[in-house]
Amino acid sequence: MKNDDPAVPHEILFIEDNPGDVRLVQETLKDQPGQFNLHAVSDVDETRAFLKRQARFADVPRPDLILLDLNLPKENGRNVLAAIKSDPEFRRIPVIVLTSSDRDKDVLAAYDLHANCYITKPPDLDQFMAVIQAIIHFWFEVAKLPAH
Amino acid sequence: MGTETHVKPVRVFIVEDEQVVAMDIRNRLQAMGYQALGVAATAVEALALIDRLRPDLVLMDIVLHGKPDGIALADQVLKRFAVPVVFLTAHADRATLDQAKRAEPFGYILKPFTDLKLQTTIETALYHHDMDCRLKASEQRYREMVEIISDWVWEIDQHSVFTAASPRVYDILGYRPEEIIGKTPFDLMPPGEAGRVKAQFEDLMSRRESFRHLENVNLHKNGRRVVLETTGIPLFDPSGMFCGYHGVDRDITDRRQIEEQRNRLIEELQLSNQELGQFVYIASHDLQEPLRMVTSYVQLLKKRYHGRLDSDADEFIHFTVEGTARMQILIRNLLHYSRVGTQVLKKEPIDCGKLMEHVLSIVKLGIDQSGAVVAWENLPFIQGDPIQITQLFQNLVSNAIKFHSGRHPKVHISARRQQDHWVFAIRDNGIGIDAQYYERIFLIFQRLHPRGVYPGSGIGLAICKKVVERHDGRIWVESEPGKGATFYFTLPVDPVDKENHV
Repeated sequence: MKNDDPAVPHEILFIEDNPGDVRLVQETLKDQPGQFNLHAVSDVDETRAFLKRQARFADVPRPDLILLDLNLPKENGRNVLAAIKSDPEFRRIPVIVLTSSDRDKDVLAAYDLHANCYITKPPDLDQFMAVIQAIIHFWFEVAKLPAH
Repeated sequence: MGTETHVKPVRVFIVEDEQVVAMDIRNRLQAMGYQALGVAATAVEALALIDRLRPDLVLMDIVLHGKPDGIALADQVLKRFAVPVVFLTAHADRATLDQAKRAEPFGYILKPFTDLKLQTTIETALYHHDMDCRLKASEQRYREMVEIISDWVWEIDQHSVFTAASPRVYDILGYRPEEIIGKTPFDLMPPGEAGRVKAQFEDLMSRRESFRHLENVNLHKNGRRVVLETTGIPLFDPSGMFCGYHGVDRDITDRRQIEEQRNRLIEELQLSNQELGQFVYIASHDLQEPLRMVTSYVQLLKKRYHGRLDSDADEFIHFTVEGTARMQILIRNLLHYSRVGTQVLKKEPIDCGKLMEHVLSIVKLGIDQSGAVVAWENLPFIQGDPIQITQLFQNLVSNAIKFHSGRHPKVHISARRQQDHWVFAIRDNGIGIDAQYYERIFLIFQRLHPRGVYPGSGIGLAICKKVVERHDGRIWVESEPGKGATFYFTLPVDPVDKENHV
């Protein structure tokens, strides 16, 4: 399903402490200028502040999609996932776990905590970009998301 | 001694101071088939002759003139020469008989006596003496054994109180036998152990059961811990009444210590291996992250700036991209290798024939490209981790196909049983391996050929070795360079299968 209004970009929140990865996603999204706004936070506290629009995040939009790395400082990504999925206000936002781990344990834990999808970061740039393209294609063009 | 006396005539010496009687006895003995060695009239004469002649038996009048008298003489004869003495006497009074008894004679004959009486008394005396000798020899042997063996030999009564202890107890526990007697075995143990062993022993005793290798901790007189291994059998008196136990205690403190030390070392080794495995896993896992960054950005650099900088820059970027790609493969393999070593094995029955069919479907591309023929026969059921065993077969079969010499690869897989394990053989007709590399090829990241000729990461056989070793087997190779190689590995026979074969 196409964005009804091309002028309104999709808001993506990337919970990731590695700026390199954030930049890679940004570079990927450059191919479709104006369609996506990528916001990055690096730990559980920033995530909470962003979602609740506190402090310096007072003016941020509500994200349409969340990309979540599991390997975060302070509390790990699993706890962040649990927090989002247990909050009635945010639990409908699709959360894509995007991590370097391919361990069964992590995959199971993520789905148990209601992750919408689990993806292992491909080590190759082209594959990485292809995965990001696939994510936005699926979630913004194929899937129908809940209205705010 | 016993048998000899009956084959040769029995040699009898007579001590009798009445010459007429002596002659009479002598004649009667000869007539009965005994050899009368000689006659002495006095004790002094008798001792000298007996010493020289060493008769089998002495017939002796209790009443001799002079000193020593017959009874004293008999005592000496028995003690010094171990020759049995039969008393002849006309005096059957109580006092004489009582006195005679003390000399422990082997018989009495009251004068006058019949030939039959003489003969039966002599034979009975010889028989008893023979038995005595055997008993003494056997007692001697027993005593020597008890003293020689390093175990402590003991006896307890029905109340578990020591009634005998061999001197060895001093070496083991520091107590002299006389200090042990009167104590119970439990007095020698620390309190907790005493309770435990006592309960165990009382249970055995209630059933009058013998026991072997009952391990128990004791305290040496100096306080040191001594581990004993006790073996005992119940004792019954001649009427069949239970009257205690006797047995041996062996000091196994050193053995236990060595065993404990060995177990501790094994445990430490396992722990350190496990830590090493974890370390490799974590290290290689954590290395992946920064490497992914380097790889991604150098690839991005190439994508965006290829042909826009100078040709040197293009070349440098090219080598960087190549290097990072290789490093990624290495780390992935290292991770894979460490997982094979650290992951918990999930063993289940595996039909190796079925497994080969599966392996064939995995390596189908290699088979199609090379025109390989892969055959197998009589592959058994084994117990193993299906993922790891599949990997093992897959690596060996794909190696067998990969290292071909231009001919169509022929790969043959077989297994034969050798006692309690299977010996698998994977034979190929490829390039073979020089004997000097038989060991090296199983080491991680060891390659014998340039990447361009036979591609690979040098991890396949290292993984095979790890898988086989984790399944309690061995792996090795035999080869004739140019003609092919055969990889062998062993896997234990399925315990269920083992029973069926028995």
